[in-house]
Amino acid sequence: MEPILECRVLGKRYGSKQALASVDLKVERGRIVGLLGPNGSGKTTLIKLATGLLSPSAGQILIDGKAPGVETKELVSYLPDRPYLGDWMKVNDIIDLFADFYRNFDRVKALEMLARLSINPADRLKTMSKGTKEKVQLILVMSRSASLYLLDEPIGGVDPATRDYILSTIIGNYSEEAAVVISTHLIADVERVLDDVVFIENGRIALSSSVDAIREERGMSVDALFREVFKC
Amino acid sequence: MLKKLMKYELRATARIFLPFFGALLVLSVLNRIFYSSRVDRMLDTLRQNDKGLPIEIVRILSAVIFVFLICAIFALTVIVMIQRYYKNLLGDEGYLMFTLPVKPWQLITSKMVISGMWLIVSGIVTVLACLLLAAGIEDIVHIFMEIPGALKTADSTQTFHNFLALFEVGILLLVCLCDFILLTYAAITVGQLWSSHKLLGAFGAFLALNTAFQIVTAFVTWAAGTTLDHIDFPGRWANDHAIALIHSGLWVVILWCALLGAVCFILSNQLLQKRLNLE
Repeated sequence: MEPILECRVLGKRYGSKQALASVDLKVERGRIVGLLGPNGSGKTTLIKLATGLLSPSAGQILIDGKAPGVETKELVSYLPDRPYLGDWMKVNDIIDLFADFYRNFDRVKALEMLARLSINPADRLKTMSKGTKEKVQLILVMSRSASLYLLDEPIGGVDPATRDYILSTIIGNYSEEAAVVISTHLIADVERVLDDVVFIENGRIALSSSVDAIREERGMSVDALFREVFKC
Repeated sequence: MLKKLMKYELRATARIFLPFFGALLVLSVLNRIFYSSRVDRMLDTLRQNDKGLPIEIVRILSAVIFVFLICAIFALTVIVMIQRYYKNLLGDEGYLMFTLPVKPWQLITSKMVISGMWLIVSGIVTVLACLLLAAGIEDIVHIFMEIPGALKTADSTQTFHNFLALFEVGILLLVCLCDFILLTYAAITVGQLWSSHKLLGAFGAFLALNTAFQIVTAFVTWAAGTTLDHIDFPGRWANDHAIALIHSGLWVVILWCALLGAVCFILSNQLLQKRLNLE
Protein backbone atom coordinates (compact mmCIF):
# COMPACT_ATOMS: atom_id res chain seq x y z
CA MET A 1 0.00 0.00 0.00
CA GLU A 2 1.20 3.51 -0.87
CA PRO A 3 2.13 5.72 2.09
CA ILE A 4 -0.68 8.20 2.69
CA LEU A 5 1.80 11.08 2.50
CA GLU A 6 5.12 11.04 0.71
CA CYS A 7 7.62 13.83 -0.02
CA ARG A 8 10.35 13.25 -2.56
CA VAL A 9 13.21 15.78 -2.52
CA LEU A 10 10.56 18.38 -1.84
CA GLY A 11 11.62 22.03 -1.93
CA LYS A 12 9.82 25.32 -1.55
CA ARG A 13 11.20 28.78 -2.10
CA TYR A 14 9.52 32.14 -1.31
CA GLY A 15 11.40 34.59 -3.49
CA SER A 16 14.98 34.30 -2.29
CA LYS A 17 14.06 32.50 0.94
CA GLN A 18 14.37 28.72 0.97
CA ALA A 19 11.49 27.52 3.18
CA LEU A 20 11.91 23.78 2.55
CA ALA A 21 14.86 21.94 1.01
CA SER A 22 15.25 18.31 -0.08
CA VAL A 23 12.58 16.93 2.22
CA ASP A 24 12.15 13.16 1.97
CA LEU A 25 9.38 11.85 4.18
CA LYS A 26 6.87 9.02 4.35
CA VAL A 27 3.80 8.92 6.60
CA GLU A 28 2.07 5.55 6.86
CA ARG A 29 -1.59 4.94 7.65
CA GLY A 30 -2.59 4.38 11.25
CA ARG A 31 0.09 6.69 12.66
CA ILE A 32 -0.15 9.96 14.55
CA VAL A 33 2.84 12.03 13.58
CA GLY A 34 4.11 15.13 15.32
CA LEU A 35 5.66 17.65 12.98
CA LEU A 36 7.81 19.54 15.43
CA GLY A 37 10.08 22.50 15.02
CA PRO A 38 10.64 26.08 16.10
CA ASN A 39 8.71 28.96 14.53
CA GLY A 40 9.60 29.51 10.88
CA SER A 41 11.13 26.05 10.47
CA GLY A 42 8.82 25.08 7.58
CA LYS A 43 6.08 23.07 9.31
CA THR A 44 3.20 25.11 7.90
CA THR A 45 4.82 25.23 4.47
CA LEU A 46 5.04 21.42 4.38
CA ILE A 47 1.39 21.04 5.37
CA LYS A 48 0.24 23.65 2.87
CA LEU A 49 2.14 21.88 0.10
CA ALA A 50 0.25 18.70 1.00
CA THR A 51 -3.09 20.50 0.75
CA GLY A 52 -2.24 22.08 -2.59
CA LEU A 53 -2.44 25.64 -1.21
CA LEU A 54 1.21 26.05 -2.20
CA SER A 55 2.95 24.72 -5.29
CA PRO A 56 6.34 23.02 -4.80
CA SER A 57 9.44 24.74 -6.20
CA ALA A 58 11.24 21.38 -6.44
CA GLY A 59 10.52 17.69 -5.98
CA GLN A 60 7.15 16.07 -5.39
CA ILE A 61 4.55 15.67 -2.71
CA LEU A 62 2.08 12.80 -3.02
CA ILE A 63 -1.10 11.95 -1.15
CA ASP A 64 -1.92 8.28 -1.54
CA GLY A 65 0.42 8.29 -4.54
CA LYS A 66 -1.27 11.26 -6.22
CA ALA A 67 -0.22 14.89 -6.58
CA PRO A 68 -2.54 17.31 -4.73
CA GLY A 69 -5.77 17.80 -6.70
CA VAL A 70 -9.52 17.25 -6.47
CA GLU A 71 -9.08 13.54 -5.62
CA THR A 72 -6.63 14.13 -2.79
CA LYS A 73 -8.77 16.92 -1.33
CA GLU A 74 -11.45 14.29 -0.67
CA LEU A 75 -8.88 12.33 1.33
CA VAL A 76 -7.31 15.18 3.28
CA SER A 77 -8.95 16.96 6.19
CA TYR A 78 -6.98 20.11 6.90
CA LEU A 79 -7.02 22.45 9.86
CA PRO A 80 -5.15 25.66 9.03
CA ASP A 81 -3.25 27.77 11.53
CA ARG A 82 -5.71 30.65 11.09
CA PRO A 83 -9.45 31.34 10.97
CA TYR A 84 -10.57 30.46 7.44
CA LEU A 85 -14.35 30.59 7.70
CA GLY A 86 -16.46 33.62 6.75
CA ASP A 87 -17.23 35.53 9.96
CA TRP A 88 -20.80 36.25 8.88
CA MET A 89 -21.68 32.55 8.76
CA LYS A 90 -23.51 30.64 11.45
CA VAL A 91 -22.06 27.33 12.61
CA ASN A 92 -25.08 25.63 11.02
CA ASP A 93 -24.29 27.25 7.65
CA ILE A 94 -20.74 25.92 7.80
CA ILE A 95 -21.95 22.45 8.73
CA ASP A 96 -24.25 22.56 5.66
CA LEU A 97 -21.31 23.64 3.52
CA PHE A 98 -19.08 20.80 4.76
CA ALA A 99 -21.91 18.29 4.31
CA ASP A 100 -22.53 19.58 0.77
CA PHE A 101 -18.94 19.33 -0.40
CA TYR A 102 -17.38 16.48 1.56
CA ARG A 103 -18.99 13.08 1.14
CA ASN A 104 -17.13 11.83 4.22
CA PHE A 105 -18.47 14.53 6.56
CA ASP A 106 -20.54 13.25 9.47
CA ARG A 107 -23.07 15.90 10.52
CA VAL A 108 -24.27 13.97 13.59
CA LYS A 109 -20.73 13.63 14.89
CA ALA A 110 -20.14 17.36 14.40
CA LEU A 111 -23.33 18.31 16.26
CA GLU A 112 -22.45 15.95 19.10
CA MET A 113 -19.01 17.48 19.51
CA LEU A 114 -20.46 21.00 19.41
CA ALA A 115 -22.95 20.09 22.13
CA ARG A 116 -20.18 18.57 24.23
CA LEU A 117 -18.27 21.87 24.08
CA SER A 118 -21.48 23.89 24.65
CA ILE A 119 -21.27 25.64 21.30
CA ASN A 120 -24.62 26.69 19.90
CA PRO A 121 -24.83 25.81 16.17
CA ALA A 122 -27.17 28.78 15.62
CA ASP A 123 -24.46 31.25 16.69
CA ARG A 124 -22.57 33.35 14.21
CA LEU A 125 -18.78 33.02 14.14
CA LYS A 126 -18.56 36.80 14.47
CA THR A 127 -19.89 36.60 18.02
CA MET A 128 -17.42 33.91 19.13
CA SER A 129 -14.07 34.20 20.87
CA LYS A 130 -10.89 33.21 19.04
CA GLY A 131 -10.66 29.99 21.06
CA THR A 132 -14.27 28.99 20.30
CA LYS A 133 -13.72 29.61 16.58
CA GLU A 134 -10.71 27.32 16.73
CA LYS A 135 -12.80 24.66 18.41
CA VAL A 136 -15.47 24.94 15.70
CA GLN A 137 -12.86 24.55 12.98
CA LEU A 138 -11.32 21.53 14.66
CA ILE A 139 -14.73 19.90 15.15
CA LEU A 140 -15.52 20.34 11.45
CA VAL A 141 -12.18 18.89 10.42
CA MET A 142 -12.40 15.92 12.80
CA SER A 143 -15.99 15.15 11.76
CA ARG A 144 -14.76 13.92 8.41
CA SER A 145 -13.67 10.33 7.97
CA ALA A 146 -10.61 11.32 5.99
CA SER A 147 -7.49 9.29 5.21
CA LEU A 148 -5.11 12.04 6.26
CA TYR A 149 -5.68 14.74 8.85
CA LEU A 150 -3.32 17.67 8.64
CA LEU A 151 -3.62 19.75 11.79
CA ASP A 152 -1.59 22.92 11.88
CA GLU A 153 -1.28 24.15 15.48
CA PRO A 154 -4.58 22.61 16.61
CA ILE A 155 -4.10 23.48 20.28
CA GLY A 156 -2.32 26.81 20.01
CA GLY A 157 -5.13 29.11 21.11
CA VAL A 158 -7.16 27.07 23.60
CA ASP A 159 -7.05 26.52 27.35
CA PRO A 160 -5.43 23.36 28.83
CA ALA A 161 -8.79 21.69 29.62
CA THR A 162 -9.97 22.09 26.04
CA ARG A 163 -6.53 20.97 24.86
CA ASP A 164 -7.13 17.61 26.55
CA TYR A 165 -10.57 17.34 24.97
CA ILE A 166 -9.17 18.19 21.54
CA LEU A 167 -6.41 15.62 21.82
CA SER A 168 -8.81 12.92 22.94
CA THR A 169 -11.08 13.93 20.05
CA ILE A 170 -8.19 13.50 17.63
CA ILE A 171 -7.35 10.05 18.99
CA GLY A 172 -10.99 9.04 19.22
CA ASN A 173 -11.97 10.12 15.72
CA TYR A 174 -9.40 8.67 13.40
CA SER A 175 -9.46 5.14 12.14
CA GLU A 176 -6.59 2.71 11.66
CA GLU A 177 -6.76 3.48 7.95
CA ALA A 178 -6.04 7.14 8.56
CA ALA A 179 -2.97 9.09 9.56
CA VAL A 180 -2.79 12.31 11.53
CA VAL A 181 -0.04 14.91 11.16
CA ILE A 182 0.01 17.48 13.97
CA SER A 183 2.25 20.48 13.68
CA THR A 184 3.00 22.21 16.96
CA HIS A 185 5.64 23.50 19.28
CA LEU A 186 3.62 22.61 22.41
CA ILE A 187 5.31 19.24 22.56
CA ALA A 188 4.68 18.32 26.18
CA ASP A 189 0.93 18.49 25.54
CA VAL A 190 0.84 16.34 22.42
CA GLU A 191 3.61 13.90 23.25
CA ARG A 192 1.31 11.31 24.78
CA VAL A 193 -0.75 10.93 21.61
CA LEU A 194 2.12 10.72 19.12
CA ASP A 195 3.41 7.53 17.45
CA ASP A 196 6.14 9.23 15.39
CA VAL A 197 7.91 12.55 15.38
CA VAL A 198 9.54 14.55 12.63
CA PHE A 199 11.84 17.36 13.74
CA ILE A 200 12.15 20.08 11.17
CA GLU A 201 14.77 22.82 11.26
CA ASN A 202 15.41 25.54 8.72
CA GLY A 203 13.36 23.68 6.12
CA ARG A 204 15.20 20.39 6.52
CA ILE A 205 14.30 17.20 8.33
CA ALA A 206 16.53 17.08 11.41
CA LEU A 207 15.16 13.81 12.78
CA SER A 208 12.47 11.31 11.94
CA SER A 209 11.76 8.57 14.44
CA SER A 210 9.10 6.73 16.40
CA VAL A 211 8.37 8.03 19.88
CA ASP A 212 9.10 4.58 21.35
CA ALA A 213 12.55 4.53 19.74
CA ILE A 214 13.37 7.93 21.22
CA ARG A 215 12.35 6.78 24.68
CA GLU A 216 14.11 3.41 24.43
CA GLU A 217 17.31 4.38 22.62
CA ARG A 218 17.88 7.82 24.05
CA GLY A 219 16.09 7.40 27.33
CA MET A 220 14.39 10.76 27.15
CA SER A 221 11.02 12.26 26.33
CA VAL A 222 10.30 13.91 22.99
CA ASP A 223 10.05 17.23 24.80
CA ALA A 224 13.53 16.79 26.32
CA LEU A 225 14.98 15.71 22.98
CA PHE A 226 13.39 18.69 21.26
CA ARG A 227 14.96 21.06 23.79
CA GLU A 228 18.32 19.40 23.19
CA VAL A 229 18.15 19.43 19.38
CA PHE A 230 16.84 22.98 19.12
CA LYS A 231 18.89 24.48 21.94
CA CYS A 232 19.36 28.22 21.34
CA MET B 1 -20.21 20.99 -7.48
CA LEU B 2 -20.52 24.13 -9.61
CA LYS B 3 -24.16 24.46 -8.60
CA LYS B 4 -23.25 24.14 -4.91
CA LEU B 5 -20.48 26.72 -5.26
CA MET B 6 -22.91 29.13 -6.90
CA LYS B 7 -25.44 28.52 -4.15
CA TYR B 8 -22.92 29.53 -1.46
CA GLU B 9 -21.62 32.45 -3.52
CA LEU B 10 -25.18 33.71 -3.96
CA ARG B 11 -25.84 33.35 -0.24
CA ALA B 12 -22.63 35.19 0.68
CA THR B 13 -23.37 38.10 -1.66
CA ALA B 14 -27.17 38.38 -1.38
CA ARG B 15 -26.89 39.53 2.22
CA ILE B 16 -24.84 42.52 0.96
CA PHE B 17 -26.95 43.49 -2.05
CA LEU B 18 -30.55 42.86 -1.00
CA PRO B 19 -30.68 45.58 1.72
CA PHE B 20 -29.36 48.12 -0.82
CA PHE B 21 -31.91 47.10 -3.45
CA GLY B 22 -34.69 47.25 -0.87
CA ALA B 23 -33.57 50.70 0.29
CA LEU B 24 -33.44 51.99 -3.29
CA LEU B 25 -36.94 50.78 -4.12
CA VAL B 26 -38.36 52.20 -0.88
CA LEU B 27 -36.64 55.53 -1.56
CA SER B 28 -38.01 55.67 -5.09
CA VAL B 29 -41.55 55.27 -3.73
CA LEU B 30 -40.86 57.87 -1.01
CA ASN B 31 -39.51 60.29 -3.60
CA ARG B 32 -42.55 59.76 -5.72
CA ILE B 33 -44.71 60.67 -2.73
CA PHE B 34 -42.54 63.67 -1.74
CA TYR B 35 -42.68 65.04 -5.28
CA SER B 36 -46.39 64.32 -5.87
CA SER B 37 -48.79 67.13 -6.75
CA ARG B 38 -50.53 66.72 -3.40
CA VAL B 39 -47.31 67.46 -1.52
CA ASP B 40 -46.67 70.33 -3.98
CA ARG B 41 -49.97 71.90 -3.02
CA MET B 42 -49.32 71.31 0.66
CA LEU B 43 -45.89 72.88 0.32
CA ASP B 44 -47.35 75.94 -1.44
CA THR B 45 -49.69 76.50 1.50
CA LEU B 46 -46.88 76.03 4.02
CA ARG B 47 -44.58 78.38 2.09
CA GLN B 48 -47.12 81.13 2.40
CA ASN B 49 -46.81 80.77 6.19
CA ASP B 50 -43.00 80.42 6.00
CA LYS B 51 -43.24 76.85 7.30
CA GLY B 52 -42.18 74.97 4.20
CA LEU B 53 -38.48 74.58 5.02
CA PRO B 54 -38.57 71.16 6.79
CA ILE B 55 -40.45 69.57 3.90
CA GLU B 56 -38.12 71.18 1.36
CA ILE B 57 -35.13 69.75 3.24
CA VAL B 58 -36.66 66.26 3.38
CA ARG B 59 -37.41 66.46 -0.36
CA ILE B 60 -33.88 67.47 -1.28
CA LEU B 61 -32.35 64.94 1.09
CA SER B 62 -34.39 62.03 -0.22
CA ALA B 63 -33.53 62.95 -3.82
CA VAL B 64 -29.82 63.24 -3.00
CA ILE B 65 -29.82 59.92 -1.12
CA PHE B 66 -31.63 58.28 -4.05
CA VAL B 67 -28.95 59.36 -6.54
CA PHE B 68 -26.20 58.53 -4.07
CA LEU B 69 -27.66 55.05 -3.53
CA ILE B 70 -27.71 54.32 -7.27
CA CYS B 71 -24.01 55.29 -7.53
CA ALA B 72 -23.25 53.27 -4.38
CA ILE B 73 -24.96 50.15 -5.75
CA PHE B 74 -22.85 50.18 -8.92
CA ALA B 75 -19.67 50.87 -6.98
CA LEU B 76 -20.66 48.07 -4.61
CA THR B 77 -21.15 45.49 -7.38
CA VAL B 78 -17.63 46.16 -8.65
CA ILE B 79 -16.12 46.21 -5.13
CA VAL B 80 -17.89 42.98 -4.16
CA MET B 81 -16.82 41.37 -7.44
CA ILE B 82 -13.16 42.15 -6.66
CA GLN B 83 -13.42 41.41 -2.95
CA ARG B 84 -15.13 38.03 -3.38
CA TYR B 85 -12.34 36.85 -5.67
CA TYR B 86 -9.44 38.42 -3.82
CA LYS B 87 -10.55 37.70 -0.27
CA ASN B 88 -12.59 34.53 -0.66
CA LEU B 89 -10.13 32.78 -2.97
CA LEU B 90 -6.74 34.37 -2.42
CA GLY B 91 -7.13 35.52 1.20
CA ASP B 92 -7.57 33.43 4.36
CA GLU B 93 -10.95 32.10 3.18
CA GLY B 94 -9.08 30.58 0.24
CA TYR B 95 -7.75 28.00 2.73
CA LEU B 96 -11.25 26.56 2.72
CA MET B 97 -12.15 27.18 -0.92
CA PHE B 98 -9.00 25.56 -2.30
CA THR B 99 -9.25 22.56 0.00
CA LEU B 100 -12.80 21.77 -1.13
CA PRO B 101 -12.83 18.97 -3.70
CA VAL B 102 -13.55 21.31 -6.61
CA LYS B 103 -11.55 22.39 -9.63
CA PRO B 104 -10.24 25.95 -10.03
CA TRP B 105 -12.37 26.49 -13.16
CA GLN B 106 -15.46 25.77 -11.08
CA LEU B 107 -14.41 28.36 -8.51
CA ILE B 108 -13.80 30.98 -11.22
CA THR B 109 -17.06 30.19 -13.03
CA SER B 110 -19.17 30.32 -9.86
CA LYS B 111 -17.75 33.72 -8.95
CA MET B 112 -18.14 35.04 -12.51
CA VAL B 113 -21.77 33.93 -12.89
CA ILE B 114 -22.87 35.38 -9.56
CA SER B 115 -20.94 38.67 -10.02
CA GLY B 116 -22.36 39.02 -13.52
CA MET B 117 -25.82 38.28 -12.20
CA TRP B 118 -25.55 41.02 -9.55
CA LEU B 119 -24.31 43.55 -12.13
CA ILE B 120 -27.36 42.78 -14.29
CA VAL B 121 -29.75 42.77 -11.32
CA SER B 122 -28.31 46.11 -10.15
CA GLY B 123 -29.09 47.54 -13.59
CA ILE B 124 -32.62 46.14 -13.55
CA VAL B 125 -33.33 47.38 -10.01
CA THR B 126 -32.00 50.85 -10.89
CA VAL B 127 -34.21 51.05 -14.00
CA LEU B 128 -37.15 49.81 -11.96
CA ALA B 129 -36.48 52.38 -9.22
CA CYS B 130 -36.30 55.21 -11.79
CA LEU B 131 -39.52 54.00 -13.41
CA LEU B 132 -41.23 53.81 -10.02
CA LEU B 133 -40.09 57.35 -9.39
CA ALA B 134 -41.24 58.71 -12.73
CA ALA B 135 -44.21 56.50 -13.41
CA GLY B 136 -46.53 54.27 -11.40
CA ILE B 137 -46.66 50.47 -11.37
CA GLU B 138 -49.49 50.51 -13.94
CA ASP B 139 -47.40 52.67 -16.27
CA ILE B 140 -44.45 50.29 -15.92
CA VAL B 141 -46.60 47.30 -16.86
CA HIS B 142 -47.91 49.31 -19.81
CA ILE B 143 -44.38 50.16 -20.98
CA PHE B 144 -43.33 46.52 -20.93
CA MET B 145 -46.49 45.47 -22.75
CA GLU B 146 -45.67 47.95 -25.51
CA ILE B 147 -42.13 46.67 -26.16
CA PRO B 148 -43.02 43.67 -28.37
CA GLY B 149 -45.41 45.83 -30.35
CA ALA B 150 -42.74 48.47 -30.88
CA LEU B 151 -40.36 45.89 -32.28
CA LYS B 152 -42.95 44.51 -34.69
CA THR B 153 -43.48 46.03 -38.06
CA ALA B 154 -45.86 45.17 -40.86
CA ASP B 155 -43.14 43.18 -42.58
CA SER B 156 -42.50 39.87 -40.79
CA THR B 157 -38.93 39.62 -42.16
CA GLN B 158 -38.05 42.93 -40.55
CA THR B 159 -39.65 41.83 -37.28
CA PHE B 160 -37.39 38.79 -37.31
CA HIS B 161 -34.33 41.00 -37.90
CA ASN B 162 -35.33 43.40 -35.12
CA PHE B 163 -35.63 40.58 -32.61
CA LEU B 164 -32.42 39.00 -33.89
CA ALA B 165 -30.52 42.28 -33.55
CA LEU B 166 -31.88 42.75 -30.03
CA PHE B 167 -30.83 39.20 -29.17
CA GLU B 168 -27.36 39.75 -30.63
CA VAL B 169 -26.85 43.03 -28.80
CA GLY B 170 -27.98 41.28 -25.61
CA ILE B 171 -25.44 38.51 -26.15
CA LEU B 172 -22.74 41.07 -26.91
CA LEU B 173 -23.45 42.97 -23.69
CA LEU B 174 -23.38 39.72 -21.73
CA VAL B 175 -20.05 38.70 -23.28
CA CYS B 176 -18.58 42.16 -22.60
CA LEU B 177 -19.73 41.89 -18.99
CA CYS B 178 -18.03 38.50 -18.62
CA ASP B 179 -14.92 39.95 -20.30
CA PHE B 180 -14.72 42.72 -17.71
CA ILE B 181 -15.12 40.27 -14.82
CA LEU B 182 -12.66 37.74 -16.24
CA LEU B 183 -10.09 40.44 -17.02
CA THR B 184 -10.32 41.63 -13.40
CA TYR B 185 -9.98 38.05 -12.11
CA ALA B 186 -6.99 37.38 -14.37
CA ALA B 187 -5.30 40.57 -13.15
CA ILE B 188 -5.85 39.63 -9.49
CA THR B 189 -4.55 36.11 -10.14
CA VAL B 190 -1.43 37.43 -11.87
CA GLY B 191 -0.98 39.86 -8.95
CA GLN B 192 -0.81 37.00 -6.41
CA LEU B 193 2.34 35.72 -8.14
CA TRP B 194 4.24 38.59 -6.51
CA SER B 195 5.42 37.69 -3.03
CA SER B 196 4.56 41.22 -1.82
CA HIS B 197 2.55 44.17 -3.20
CA LYS B 198 -0.04 41.77 -4.61
CA LEU B 199 -2.67 44.50 -5.10
CA LEU B 200 -0.21 46.72 -6.91
CA GLY B 201 0.73 43.72 -9.04
CA ALA B 202 -2.95 43.11 -9.80
CA PHE B 203 -3.44 46.75 -10.81
CA GLY B 204 -0.37 46.61 -13.07
CA ALA B 205 -1.56 43.33 -14.57
CA PHE B 206 -5.00 44.85 -15.26
CA LEU B 207 -3.43 47.76 -17.16
CA ALA B 208 -1.02 45.47 -19.02
CA LEU B 209 -3.69 42.95 -20.05
CA ASN B 210 -6.16 45.66 -21.04
CA THR B 211 -3.54 47.48 -23.14
CA ALA B 212 -2.42 44.22 -24.77
CA PHE B 213 -6.02 43.35 -25.69
CA GLN B 214 -6.61 46.83 -27.13
CA ILE B 215 -3.45 46.64 -29.24
CA VAL B 216 -4.32 43.16 -30.54
CA THR B 217 -7.93 44.21 -31.24
CA ALA B 218 -6.74 47.34 -33.10
CA PHE B 219 -4.31 45.27 -35.14
CA VAL B 220 -6.91 42.61 -36.02
CA THR B 221 -9.44 45.31 -36.98
CA TRP B 222 -6.86 47.01 -39.18
CA ALA B 223 -5.85 43.70 -40.80
CA ALA B 224 -9.48 42.71 -41.42
CA GLY B 225 -10.27 46.17 -42.86
CA THR B 226 -7.29 46.06 -45.20
CA THR B 227 -8.18 42.56 -46.40
CA LEU B 228 -11.81 43.53 -47.06
CA ASP B 229 -10.64 46.61 -48.99
CA HIS B 230 -8.80 44.37 -51.40
CA ILE B 231 -11.78 42.14 -52.09
CA ASP B 232 -13.73 43.25 -55.13
CA PHE B 233 -17.40 42.75 -54.21
CA PRO B 234 -19.66 42.61 -57.28
CA GLY B 235 -21.69 45.80 -57.85
CA ARG B 236 -24.81 45.75 -55.66
CA TRP B 237 -23.78 42.72 -53.56
CA ALA B 238 -23.07 44.72 -50.39
CA ASN B 239 -26.36 46.63 -50.74
CA ASP B 240 -28.38 43.47 -51.26
CA HIS B 241 -26.84 41.80 -48.24
CA ALA B 242 -26.60 44.83 -45.95
CA ILE B 243 -28.74 43.34 -43.14
CA ALA B 244 -26.94 39.99 -43.26
CA LEU B 245 -23.62 41.86 -43.12
CA ILE B 246 -24.69 43.74 -39.99
CA HIS B 247 -25.65 40.48 -38.27
CA SER B 248 -22.39 38.80 -39.34
CA GLY B 249 -20.45 41.81 -38.09
CA LEU B 250 -22.15 41.61 -34.70
CA TRP B 251 -21.35 37.90 -34.42
CA VAL B 252 -17.70 38.51 -35.33
CA VAL B 253 -17.48 41.10 -32.53
CA ILE B 254 -19.24 38.72 -30.11
CA LEU B 255 -16.83 35.89 -30.95
CA TRP B 256 -13.81 38.17 -30.67
CA CYS B 257 -14.90 39.39 -27.21
CA ALA B 258 -15.62 35.79 -26.17
CA LEU B 259 -12.11 34.86 -27.31
CA LEU B 260 -10.54 37.60 -25.14
CA GLY B 261 -12.65 36.43 -22.19
CA ALA B 262 -11.55 32.84 -22.79
CA VAL B 263 -7.89 33.94 -22.75
CA CYS B 264 -8.42 35.55 -19.31
CA PHE B 265 -10.31 32.51 -18.03
CA ILE B 266 -7.63 30.07 -19.16
CA LEU B 267 -4.87 32.29 -17.73
CA SER B 268 -6.56 32.44 -14.29
CA ASN B 269 -7.37 28.73 -14.33
CA GLN B 270 -3.82 27.69 -15.22
CA LEU B 271 -2.27 29.96 -12.59
CA LEU B 272 -4.65 28.78 -9.85
CA GLN B 273 -4.02 25.18 -10.81
CA LYS B 274 -0.26 25.24 -11.18
CA ARG B 275 1.06 28.33 -9.42
CA LEU B 276 -1.23 28.78 -6.43
CA ASN B 277 0.65 30.25 -3.47
CA LEU B 278 -1.50 31.18 -0.50
CA GLU B 279 1.14 32.58 1.81
